[in-house]
Amino acid sequence: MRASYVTNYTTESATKTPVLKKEFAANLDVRAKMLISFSVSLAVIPLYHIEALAILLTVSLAYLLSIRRFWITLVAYITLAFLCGLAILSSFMVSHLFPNMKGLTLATFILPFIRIAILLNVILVMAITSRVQGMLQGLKSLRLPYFIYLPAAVMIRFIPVFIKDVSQIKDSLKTKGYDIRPVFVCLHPFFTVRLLFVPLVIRALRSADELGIAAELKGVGLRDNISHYRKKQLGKSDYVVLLLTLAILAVAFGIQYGFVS
Amino acid sequence: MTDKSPLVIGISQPRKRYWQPRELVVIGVFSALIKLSSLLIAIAGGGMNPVTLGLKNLVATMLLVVLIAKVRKPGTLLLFVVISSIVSALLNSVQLFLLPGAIIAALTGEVVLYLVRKHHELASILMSIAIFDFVSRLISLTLSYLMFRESMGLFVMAAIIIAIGYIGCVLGLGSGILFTKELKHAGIIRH
Repeated sequence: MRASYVTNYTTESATKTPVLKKEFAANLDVRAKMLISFSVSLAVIPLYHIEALAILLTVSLAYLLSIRRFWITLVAYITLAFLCGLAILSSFMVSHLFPNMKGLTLATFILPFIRIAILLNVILVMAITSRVQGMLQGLKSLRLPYFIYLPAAVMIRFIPVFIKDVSQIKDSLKTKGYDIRPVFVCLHPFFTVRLLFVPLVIRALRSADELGIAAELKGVGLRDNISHYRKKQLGKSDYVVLLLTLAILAVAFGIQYGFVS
Repeated sequence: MTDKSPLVIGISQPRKRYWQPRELVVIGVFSALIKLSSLLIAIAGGGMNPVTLGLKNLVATMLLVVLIAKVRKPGTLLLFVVISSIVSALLNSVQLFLLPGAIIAALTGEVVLYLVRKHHELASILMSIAIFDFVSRLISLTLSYLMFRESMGLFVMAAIIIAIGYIGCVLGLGSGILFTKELKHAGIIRH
């Protein structure tokens, strides 16, 4: 039955997930990481001074490197550099096609990508070090109404399950002689949808039916109050990191507006 | 059994809710599926090329048609948009800026569905999704203009990307009809 499969997957994935407890970012509360991500994403929009952005980039890169996932960091940065190069090339071509769009400098193109790199650093830390349970606790702490909390919790819980499903479908397709690679996807887009997504949608619909029945049988949604099995408070390290984030953002704004030299 | 029967005396009756847990679970599962499939196509297609860009939107719209065909209630589209935006904001807080635009687009789609007053018909569902897609693309285009107003070259590139995405959405409506009909035939969608 599907429900038992979900349980098996949880225990299986818990044992397979690399242990990140040694790194301080892994021990931070998911709400603290969300707040860091949110404050940084808010701050990078008004910031335009290259030195202010450079400080944020350096600190956020150190934050990302502290979790010691160097391979993922390298791949993410190579992808970002590739996208940056592609955007510069495309804009160069557009400026040749439309001469009145000329007059753009390299700095004009680089600044948006520095912003993206800063966001990438904080988001990668959150994505790599946060577990599904932590995300659910974060969601619960937002005190959303039942009709928003339930589907959002299901959504967070099911993303890893579907990733597992996709890899299983890909394996089964390999045994039939289909290898889903970028060239194959570009040459046969509709066939890829048929091969990969039709079984996935049918699995999703079955899972939704079973989980919905299980939720109704357990009485989910009959009462307004959701009781908490375990309440997690923000720790000392979370407050220290949040204060540090605020201080760094204040320095960046100080540099931009000339309060800090 | 009436409310005054001996079995229910002393037990407060649960409130009748508009959204049943089963419907909410379907919305959650489909939100996860739509988010994941967009990500997977982008990865499988090796980045942002026009084919994967169109395909990503095609699959997202197709799944949205299936979702609304499965949960035929006013507000499904709006709830889907709100939940997707909240979870996206949990993963990437920048998405919070897109939330008002997405809600406006979903509200427009819902208003159209309300005015038509035919929630059970596939044609009105398709019209509502088509309008939602169109309005959300229009809002994206406006936001792109605000972001890149100093460098029109980048705005043109953003406009091209949005246009390719919208073509994918239109194709997704067609494939959504076919998919829903197949699922009805298989008895998975019972309306």
